[in-house]
Amino acid sequence: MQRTKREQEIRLVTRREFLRRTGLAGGGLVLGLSLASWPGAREALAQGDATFQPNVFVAIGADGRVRLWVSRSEMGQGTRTGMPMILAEELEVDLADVEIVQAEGDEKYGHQLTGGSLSVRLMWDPLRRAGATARQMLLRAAAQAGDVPVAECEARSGRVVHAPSGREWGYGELAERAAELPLPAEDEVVLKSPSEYRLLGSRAPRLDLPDIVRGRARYGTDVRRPGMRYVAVARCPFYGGRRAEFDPAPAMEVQGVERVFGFDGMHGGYHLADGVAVVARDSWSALEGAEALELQWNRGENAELGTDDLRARFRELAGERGEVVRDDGDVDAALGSAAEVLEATYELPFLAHAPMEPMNCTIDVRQGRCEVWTPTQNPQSVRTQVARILEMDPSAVTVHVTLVGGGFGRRLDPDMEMEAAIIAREMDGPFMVVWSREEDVQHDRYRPASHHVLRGGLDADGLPLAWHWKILNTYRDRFVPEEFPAFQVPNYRAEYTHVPWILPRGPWRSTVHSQNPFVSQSFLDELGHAAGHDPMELRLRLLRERPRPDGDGDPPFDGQRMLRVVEEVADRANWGRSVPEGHGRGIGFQYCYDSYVAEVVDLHVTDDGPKVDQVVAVVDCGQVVNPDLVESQFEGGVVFTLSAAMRQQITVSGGRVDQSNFHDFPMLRASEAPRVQTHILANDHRPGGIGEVPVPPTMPAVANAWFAATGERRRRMPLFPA
Amino acid sequence: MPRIQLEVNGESRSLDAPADMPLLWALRDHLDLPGTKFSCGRGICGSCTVLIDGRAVRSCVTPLSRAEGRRVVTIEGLSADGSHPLQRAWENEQVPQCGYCQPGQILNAAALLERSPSPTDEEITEAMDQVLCRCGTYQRIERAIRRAVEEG
Repeated sequence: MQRTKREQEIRLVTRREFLRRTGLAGGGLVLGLSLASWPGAREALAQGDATFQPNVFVAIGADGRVRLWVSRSEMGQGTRTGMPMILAEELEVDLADVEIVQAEGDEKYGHQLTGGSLSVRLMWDPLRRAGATARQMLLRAAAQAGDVPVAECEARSGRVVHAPSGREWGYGELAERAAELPLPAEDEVVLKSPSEYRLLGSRAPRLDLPDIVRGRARYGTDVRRPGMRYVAVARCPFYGGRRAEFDPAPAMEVQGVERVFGFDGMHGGYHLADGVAVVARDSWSALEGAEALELQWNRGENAELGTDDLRARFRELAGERGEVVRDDGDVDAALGSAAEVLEATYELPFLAHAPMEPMNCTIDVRQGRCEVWTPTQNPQSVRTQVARILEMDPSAVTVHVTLVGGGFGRRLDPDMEMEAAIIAREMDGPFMVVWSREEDVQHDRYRPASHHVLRGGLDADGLPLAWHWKILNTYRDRFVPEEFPAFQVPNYRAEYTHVPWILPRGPWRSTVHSQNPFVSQSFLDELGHAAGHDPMELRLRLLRERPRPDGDGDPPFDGQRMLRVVEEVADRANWGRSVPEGHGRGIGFQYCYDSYVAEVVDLHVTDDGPKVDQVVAVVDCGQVVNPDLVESQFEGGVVFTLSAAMRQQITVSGGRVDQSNFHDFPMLRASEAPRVQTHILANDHRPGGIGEVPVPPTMPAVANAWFAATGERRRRMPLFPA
Repeated sequence: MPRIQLEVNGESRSLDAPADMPLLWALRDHLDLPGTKFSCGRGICGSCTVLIDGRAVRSCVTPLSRAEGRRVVTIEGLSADGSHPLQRAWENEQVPQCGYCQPGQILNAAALLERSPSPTDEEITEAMDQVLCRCGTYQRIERAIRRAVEEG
């Protein structure tokens, strides 16, 4: 893969320009940094995104306070703490002296989509460079002020000290002078080495937590605007259906309801359901009004379809050849000559995201301008789409990003904001679209469903000789050709068939990795069991004797790092210890988002099904910004994934989603959550991603643990439906 | 519509709302107390938990009529300044991720400690099973409760 040339442009933003661009008064030193950094970024963002250029805006005021515009959405992963930590380290200020400004949706911030576990990888270089550049300018300003050599000055905790004379200056005193200086040359800006870190790698507490525990945190649903109305929408639940005539009276009779009207969604391309909007003076009236309506719909051409039909279609198409996406060796001949051949079919359902904060959007359109407040993961897309619907220039649309009550990929789609804009055409003044939980579950953008047929052949030593993997998926692009065990099996073919279906798709935490590792590492266990191999020994042997070549990918895949996490998890989990009757242990590992992860899941069988007792996780994610954030993602990500793997599915009958709330789309409760131990393998490699990393290994590990405990192989998710 | 009188966070509050409006929506939309969160609307998930006379109650399915004349405490009123032992423990253990369910978690735990200041494992489990967390912070919630019990 071709390396992109690093382009760097640090600009000193003049005060006038700063005022114009940010609309905020402020003197001192202001830096705007645009840096197409991290060579792998272009590949990772290969969506034809022409505006990709991470941008950082940092201001250091005369009062010494540092302001950082954070261009990522905070949804619990800690980015509003991690981003300032990276800046503060290089800038040499205390974290408490950094003020976070949540960036509005604007191209000037470059890539502003929070997803793909990308935030640290994307912002690592730009934030460090901005901090180090500002630090260097402040050092030079001090040298100038004190008429001393810059080499004798040291920056520390927001002050510059000239040790020989004992003189020192606060950054605030120096900021104006620094702003007059030319930018330092690239080689004059020296980044710290890891051994010099004082903040990076520390367990700095999350900046948002004091507000959260006091009930002061403001999510999208907490936005309040003077005179605002609340709108509940009854959306057409039939995928492919349209709205029909209706009687608004039942809603109008609800106290507090002011208006009721139908609107058209979008069809034929991006899906937005038709709906009936109930406008009221408060949320309850709106929701009650929507519920009171007795709505009929034109059910459309899909009204007889259900997920049982999809499963049948998958089975039918599995008999045909798909598009060959990888073909090593001669899988047909190898299967013909194998000592033993196994065949298995795996099935994964649609999944909803169901974050605790339901979808919502607040919008105010007047006098040719529009303001939006939304807990989005994708504010620039919101701006573009809302502008299009309202026929405004994007510059007339301001998108405010609130705290996000859970994202998991759901809020990368701008559908709720687009719908709000459609409704806004009929409204005057500000309003919030309030989604009920039922609407949220039935109008998700779902994780795709898939169907996998595997045939594996073993050689005389019981190692995989042939692997034929047929994937059928309702989305077009859900397979990575380098996916394990492509390099570990000499005769390997993967075929892919896209089976379009009626449900809209959205990215769900770890996307492609939420589907395929469950299949491959469950089937690997099946092959290993047939040959009498211990599952851990088999994996270690394959990773040692048949490693994936290094240098594949950018940054390059490193087989040693992959092997080390699996060796470490075997050690930390004490693999090989005796396992009591009714207990079972299972393994999963994955390379994803530039990180390496392995997990051992321990469970035991009870009268009510499996109880997952413990998960031991080992991760190599290169340099770690904040280990507490990493551990949180594992503790939480494991629970999130077990909920999906064990319990959750979205099914369709009669053209509409069956599930509607947490009683039929359940998640693990506190007593069902395992103890999660997270071990971080520290090193100086470039940081890898974390947010989605816990998901892929957990899925096969729990299935494998169940097999180990019971001898029963389950190949269909959810593994233990209610 | 007759006005409804409530005591919320030690203050007498009066509002114009139907008696069958759930307390959750009265708090959020009429009393300017958005700390209590809406998530499922059916009493399943516990995000909306408040205290009524010290007991944990799911406010999304509790009509105003049931709160009238009783002492309601929301997350905003648990302490003046975040100093309640549970709030301190929640910060010290860095419990929240997205944080949306945490007011419900904290108040549910407060009700538990009110009736059982030194709860057993079973009591903690039984109580905290009432509040769901999609981010999966259960492990830290348990640690924080124990810490609050220890540190008072």
